[in-house]
Amino acid sequence: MSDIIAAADQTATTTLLHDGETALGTSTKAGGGSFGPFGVSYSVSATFSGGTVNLKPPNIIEIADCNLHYSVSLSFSLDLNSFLPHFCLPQVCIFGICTPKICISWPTITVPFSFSDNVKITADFTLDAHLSGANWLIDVVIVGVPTLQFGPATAGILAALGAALSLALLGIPFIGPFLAGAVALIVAAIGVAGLTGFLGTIITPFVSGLRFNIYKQPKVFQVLPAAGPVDPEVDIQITALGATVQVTDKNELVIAGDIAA
Amino acid sequence: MSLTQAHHVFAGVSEGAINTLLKALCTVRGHYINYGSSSFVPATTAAATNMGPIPFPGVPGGIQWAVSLSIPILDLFPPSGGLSPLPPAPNTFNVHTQATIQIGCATWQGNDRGQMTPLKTVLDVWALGEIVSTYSGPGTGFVSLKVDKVLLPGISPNSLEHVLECLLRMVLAAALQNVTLPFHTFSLGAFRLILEQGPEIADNQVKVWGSI
Repeated sequence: MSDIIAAADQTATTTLLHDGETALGTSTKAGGGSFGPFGVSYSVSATFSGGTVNLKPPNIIEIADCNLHYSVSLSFSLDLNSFLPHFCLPQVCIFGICTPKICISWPTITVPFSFSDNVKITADFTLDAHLSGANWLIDVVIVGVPTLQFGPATAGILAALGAALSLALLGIPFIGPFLAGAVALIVAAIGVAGLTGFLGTIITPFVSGLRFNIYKQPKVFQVLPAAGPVDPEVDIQITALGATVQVTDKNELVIAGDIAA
Repeated sequence: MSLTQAHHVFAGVSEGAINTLLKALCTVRGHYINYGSSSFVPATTAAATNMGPIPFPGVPGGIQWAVSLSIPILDLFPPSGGLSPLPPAPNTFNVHTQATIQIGCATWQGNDRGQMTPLKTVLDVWALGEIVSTYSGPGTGFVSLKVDKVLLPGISPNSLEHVLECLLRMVLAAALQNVTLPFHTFSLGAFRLILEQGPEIADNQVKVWGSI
């Protein structure tokens, strides 16, 4: 028998998980990639919240409907040469005097665009109890990479992107009003598939290898704090720690530890 | 049967772990189990508590004394061995310690302070007790040890045995009531327990149930 046994049912384990989500805080990543036929640089932040725990033997914690909140800041580069026709004014000679050949080069415009959304994930996690430096940790670690199901809100994101592009293109002298009309073509070129593909690329790294910490205590565990000059701190050593899912008439997360004076 | 039963969390501390905690506590704060007047304990430190001598008219400086308990060893119900004359009943524990009682055996003449020779005896002390909890709010609280009965087998005459049993019951009860184990220790800090049931002693464990 282990020295100390602590057990939590699914309700309590869900509470521990939510504490772990809060402790994980906000994660951020940045990079560049393809957004449909266009290039973007981006920064993205993500947090996790909610979800319910389903303890399953052997040692599986299924977390259902965990909310992954993400916020994306894009810098969307639109090279107008890629879809506007190229044309040149030919050389014209009058009385032996010739004009140079003039070719029109369209500018590349950069459009900043930000959006936030939420995607729910359901996945199996395993328990990982281990000593890390001076601390004992119990993490729940995702098994595999779940498919992210981006919701109907992605269409709204495309519409918002279209509005931002219209605003940016309108500002281009002479041809702006005409280009703004091309926004529909640009958005269609990206498409929902392009957006979800992009989101999958930039959000998946937050889920791959995801681990929530549900237990962290120093190996030198404080039983009592110091309470004066003749009452020094009282500590014990946690010499071993493990975590399992046990199934009886209830499914429980069981933490077992051994201690030494 | 699940560990949490009708509650959301459970914590159980084994007999061995209780004794490990007692050892850690009494080693660092030996003054909980070591007491004596100035000839034996010159000053209060973490290791021992300085007490006054027993005043007695005509004894210069009073009677010097000391009482030390070895680190108590608990046996939670059910009994682990057959040695104890006070085996634990359900929801109780047996505790064994050795009490070392010392006196300064003084001789003097007139007004001089004379000489003092320390004399000591070591007694095996067996006791029965129970775990009591003090709950001070969600996640906070502690358990302590309450001594109900002490037995010093093999001392005669019976009247001396009764006197020493009463003396050591008072000493042991006073010493152990200082021994407190916070709830967070019961789960090794895994959660902040809101106590709903317990502490109970069964299966060589101290058990508590609650929610978080």
